[in-house]
Amino acid sequence: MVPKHIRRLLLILGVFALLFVAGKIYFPPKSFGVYGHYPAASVKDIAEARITYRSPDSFSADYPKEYETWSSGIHKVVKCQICHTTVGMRPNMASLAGVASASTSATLPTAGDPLKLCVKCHEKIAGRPDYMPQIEVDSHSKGQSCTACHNPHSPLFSSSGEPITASGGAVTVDIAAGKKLSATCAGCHGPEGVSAAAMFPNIACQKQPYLVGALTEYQSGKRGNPIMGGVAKGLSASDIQNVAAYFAGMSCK
Amino acid sequence: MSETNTCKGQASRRGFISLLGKMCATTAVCSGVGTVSLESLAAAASSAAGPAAAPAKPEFPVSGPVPEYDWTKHRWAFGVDATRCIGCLRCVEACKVENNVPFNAQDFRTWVERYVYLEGEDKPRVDSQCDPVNIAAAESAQDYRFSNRYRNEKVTKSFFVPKLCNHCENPACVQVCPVGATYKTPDGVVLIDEKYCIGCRYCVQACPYGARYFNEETQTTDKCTWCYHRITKGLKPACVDVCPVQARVFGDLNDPASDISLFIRSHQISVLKPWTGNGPHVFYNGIDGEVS
Repeated sequence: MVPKHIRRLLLILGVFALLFVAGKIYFPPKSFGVYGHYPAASVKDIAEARITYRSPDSFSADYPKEYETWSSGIHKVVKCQICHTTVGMRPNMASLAGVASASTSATLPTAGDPLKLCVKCHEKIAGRPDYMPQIEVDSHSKGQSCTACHNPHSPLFSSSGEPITASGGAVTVDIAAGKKLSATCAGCHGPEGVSAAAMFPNIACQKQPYLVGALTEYQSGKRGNPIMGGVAKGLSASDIQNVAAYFAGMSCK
Repeated sequence: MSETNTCKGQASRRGFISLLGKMCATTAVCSGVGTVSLESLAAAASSAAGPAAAPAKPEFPVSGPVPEYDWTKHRWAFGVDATRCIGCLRCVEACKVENNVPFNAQDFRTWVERYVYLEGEDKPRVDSQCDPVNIAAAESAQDYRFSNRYRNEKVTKSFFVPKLCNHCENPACVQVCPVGATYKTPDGVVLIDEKYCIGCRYCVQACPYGARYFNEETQTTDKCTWCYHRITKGLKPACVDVCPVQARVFGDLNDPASDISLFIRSHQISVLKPWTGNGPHVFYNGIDGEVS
């Protein structure tokens, strides 16, 4: 016979154990333990969060002109919402609702002050690898806004579509002068930029900014090639613009 | 079964409570029951719910709780190429916007560190976007920019290291959670149920990478989800999507042609703090032994 006081104690312990088990079953969400020791329904909740950053293609219908300039320029790697975003307490917070909505017609907020925005990628600072085009902000801009010369959607060109030279300012390209210069290139790349030999690349209808970049890098030696380095060293900045424009305009068919 | 209740949850709960009453009486009679098996109790409760417990389409199929996404078919992983990172911090900003992370200078799901070796020094100087000098350069704690603080120093070596949750194979943070609010999914992502989190911050302390932060607004812990809402729809995480130089790589290890599989094959990769045994799944290229 178990003494009375022990029996009471066991009864109380039993009630506590039952309360614990009941609580353990009653309180966790219904989906707890379906896949493991967690509420399974939360996975779906997390997966249903709102998508803010969208493919640039989803803005092409609303901003056809900007999209066209952007998609053919060197800034194609910089997607719309990298610059056109609403951050923290910036005043264009309201526009975020438009971007996030499911509607196809979206408004992008205006990009921030270029002297604060562009320098985040292009200021010359410790840590930034050499392959990235970088500037000493003060000596390069002399206090001007970046967009005074550069078109932010395609920064090797001005906002009116003229190529930008290394010496500063936009110039008009002279395709006839470029054609004259192209005689040097014709030996390997063909007179119209279509090469006859497998080892030489076609350069006809190659993007003009790309050709300018390549020639500039051969010239500085950043891109090492004994033949192209020798050719590029004989060209001035405007020669490079002109010859690049000539080949960019040729047909690659 | 006289009641015509279509709500399965209520029916089973009612059945369970009546069962509980019966068991209570039994316990009182026997008065010697030491332990009650949780599984047998749950089984009894579900059998009490009757044949209604066999719906045509299960709410939680084996392929996972996310519709039109099979979580048994993926094993996600992340790559970081420190030789390409330009420290523009667009990823940090995009992460905050995409995931509603508070716009302040302490809370981040992902962040970027800068390692700078000056001439004559063998230990690197490390700063991140939360450094006061960098906040001053950005002119706001809600904007992010690396300052040109080493312009007058002789720098021998420097690089940026983006950091985020490593989504470990054996996550210490999941092990310490007292309620089961954080967990690892079969596709390799460590998530938090913010409705179930009690805000005790054990996991914040357990993570050897400092990848978790406590959100004062929601009073729960928060962390990187590899943008689970994007990857389950075939998109890349926001930070990978916005990176203008492909310093961040994301993909499926089960697919040998994915970006991450190619990245791992073509680079000499390393992981952070491998000795902790967590099995991190963020793979780095171009960092040195000082990075941890």
